[in-house]
Formats: sequence, structure tokens, C-alpha cells
Amino acid sequence: MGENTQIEKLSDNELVRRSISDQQYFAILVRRYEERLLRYIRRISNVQVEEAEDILQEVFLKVYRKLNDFDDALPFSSWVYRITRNQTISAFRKRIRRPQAVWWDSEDAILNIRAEIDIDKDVDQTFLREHIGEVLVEMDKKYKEVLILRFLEEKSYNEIADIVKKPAGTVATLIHRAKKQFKKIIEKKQQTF
Amino acid sequence: MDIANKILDTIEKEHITPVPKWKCMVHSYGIWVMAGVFLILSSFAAAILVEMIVDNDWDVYSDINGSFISFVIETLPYVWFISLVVLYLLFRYTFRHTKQGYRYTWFIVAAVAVGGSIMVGSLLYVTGVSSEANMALSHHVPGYKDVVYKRVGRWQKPTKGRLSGVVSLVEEEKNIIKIIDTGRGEWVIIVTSSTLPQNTRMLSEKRVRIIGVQTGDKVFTANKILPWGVRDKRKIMAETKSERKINEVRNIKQRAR
Repeated sequence: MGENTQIEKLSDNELVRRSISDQQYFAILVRRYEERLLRYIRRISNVQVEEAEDILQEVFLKVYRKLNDFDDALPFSSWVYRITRNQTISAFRKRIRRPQAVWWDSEDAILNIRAEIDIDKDVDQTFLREHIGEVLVEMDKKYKEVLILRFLEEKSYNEIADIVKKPAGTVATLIHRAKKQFKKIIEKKQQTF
Repeated sequence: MDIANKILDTIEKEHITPVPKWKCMVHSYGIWVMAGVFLILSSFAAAILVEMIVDNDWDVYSDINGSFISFVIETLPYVWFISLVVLYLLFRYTFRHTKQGYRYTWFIVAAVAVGGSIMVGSLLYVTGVSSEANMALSHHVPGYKDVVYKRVGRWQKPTKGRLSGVVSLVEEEKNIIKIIDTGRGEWVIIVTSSTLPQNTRMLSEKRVRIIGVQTGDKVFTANKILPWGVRDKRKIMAETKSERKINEVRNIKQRAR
């Protein structure tokens, strides 16, 4: 019991190191990330749970194969998110059509968006909650992607930079433009509602 | 079965193992090596480009082509310029694919590439490596001197009054020098005191350009003898200066006796 608790406390990087020789440690990493990544896959692809689980399984198998390629200088979280993003995009290209709405399930996202984007006061909380998915679908792909990572996954600019493999400055610019586009679309929707 | 167990099960059944560390390292270092190679090649291209621009017969352009504009258009080293741009792009692409290459902006990568190639390129130019390489390419690569380094061909036209080569013999008393042209042919160059640089002996083993008239089979009468490039000019000047100093010291000693 005590040993299990100690193992659970191990850092991601330590678990990666140990997973190379013992698959049981890899199972801990999987359990640590499966929920978050499943949510992320659904958010960027809007697929059903079963399909998202298939993608997730492929993600973890890829992670396992590439364990020796993991760069310690990078947080494991960013690395695994990057692999998930690429795997989802690849699966998305192969068999899934463009989604009609972005799946999201977090009330915190609304608060985050409200806090960081100066949206017209006429756009109330309920309206925002009901239309956030549609707004994200209408956004340019590059903006939608960073906005999901920033507000729904609550990643820092540097983490987003590591996930999408772009310089931090470029990510900051993308987020700035994404906020402007989000504001424009939601306010337009409010006016035509 | 939860996802973790499903994954462990698949790993077990399909005998999946992590890719060996050495393979990851070969891949990772391979990209760095490629980036390095592209940077060195772009330095080399930069050095040759500089050399071809600096040593572009600006001093005798009117003897070659009456119009300055058409001379510039005709002689700019387009191939090396394009090669340099392509090599920069390849460097950028490979650098971007190093583990943390994505963290740097296009501007920083370009600054590193341009800065690095200028530094190494200057070294190659100053030491004469680029000049030798350019000559070697024109000797060994078919079509190089017709398409890329046209300067060699430009100075291999004795009937049009232009000749170049390396001075193999200087006979001051007879007013002749001998040169070996780029086709390995030997020419006798007839010179007069007015057509020669101050100290003829300093031309020995230097590459020169000669403007004059072909007066016989492998015989050329020189009107102007000029160093091939800036580096040859500097060498001749340095040797002349050093010989002048030696003579001055000798004269002082003789007077003292």
C-alpha cells in the first residue's frame, strides 16, 4: 500500500525512465493522463467516446515505442499532448469529417474566456455556454487549436508552444488573434440571435 | 478492461518494445549533422559568391563589355546565389526538425545561418580555399566554367585579346614571361616595360589576366598584365614591398662600406 503511494508520487520523467524496463510503470503514466487526453481528443475532434478511446490507445502505444526518444528538457505533459494532437489530426484526416461543434464539458472554460476576452456585456453567460462550441468550429483552425489549449486545457504559453511546436512569441500572437476572432464571432452571433 | 490494461495487453500480445536508444540518438544527431553540413555548404557558397563578386573584372569591364549594366547582368553569379538561398532553406528546415528547433523564430534561425555562413565564408575567402575550390570545380566539373564560373572562359579567348593563366617563368632580360593557361597549354607572353607591373619577378607563380593581341601560335603580346584576383594583387604588393625593403637595407649597407 505504502509502496503504491510512493510509486504514485513519482514524477512523470521518473516514470518514463522506469517504464522503459518495466511496463507496470507505464500503466501508471497511462492512468495519470488518460482522462485529460481523452477529453482533449474529443475537444479537438468532436468524436464519440469509443472513437476517442481508439485514438488514445494508439497515442499511448506510440508514446511507449518512443519512450527512449523523450527529451528530458521538455515536460512529459507537453510531449504527450503533442503526440496526442498529431495522432488525432492524422486520424481525423483519415476517417473523420470536420465536426459541426467542438465538444466541451467544462464550466471553467467559460470563466477563463470571460476573464481573458473582453466580450460585450450583452453576451450573457448562458448564451456563451450554448454557443461556445459553434464559435470554436467557425474559427480558423490555427486559432481554435490554441484557444482550446489555453482555455479548455488551461495550458501556459510555453506549454502550448511545445505542443504545437511553434516559438512562444508566435503562440502569443496566435492567442491574441484568436481572442479577437472569438470576440468578433460571438458578438455577431449575439446580434443575429 | 480499462485503457491502461488494454494497452499493456496489446504491448504484451504484439511484443511491442520501445525503439532502442541508439536509434533515437542516431536520428537526433543525424538531423544535427545534416543541419551542420548545410551550414558549412552555405558558408562555402557564401565564400565563392563573395569571391565572384569581388573579383569580377570591375577594373577592365569596358574591355570586356562596353556597357556597365549589361556587364553586371551578364556576370552576376546567379547559380551560387540560388544555391546559397536553397542551402539556407535546407538548413532552416533541418534545424526546425531538431528536438528544440521549433522554439526559435524564423528570424533567429536566419540570423544564425547568415551570421555563421558569413563568418566561416569569410575565413574560406581570406585563406583562399574558396578560390582554389572554384578553380578546381571549373577544372573537374563539366560545364561549370560555361554555366557558373564564366570568368575562366572569358579569359580564355586569345583571339579576342584576353588570356589568363599561372605564371610559370619570368625572363626579365628577354622581356618574356610564360604562363600555363586553364587548359594546361603553355603560352609565351611578350612584354614591354610599359605593360608590366613594377616588379616582374613578383608575378612568378601568380595567376594573372592579360589583355593584348595574339601574335603567333601560343604567343601573345601583352598590353596589360593584371592580377587574377584581389588575393593575388595583395600577394604581389606584399612581396614587392618586402623586396623593396630588402633592397633599401642592402643599399644602406653598401653605402656604409
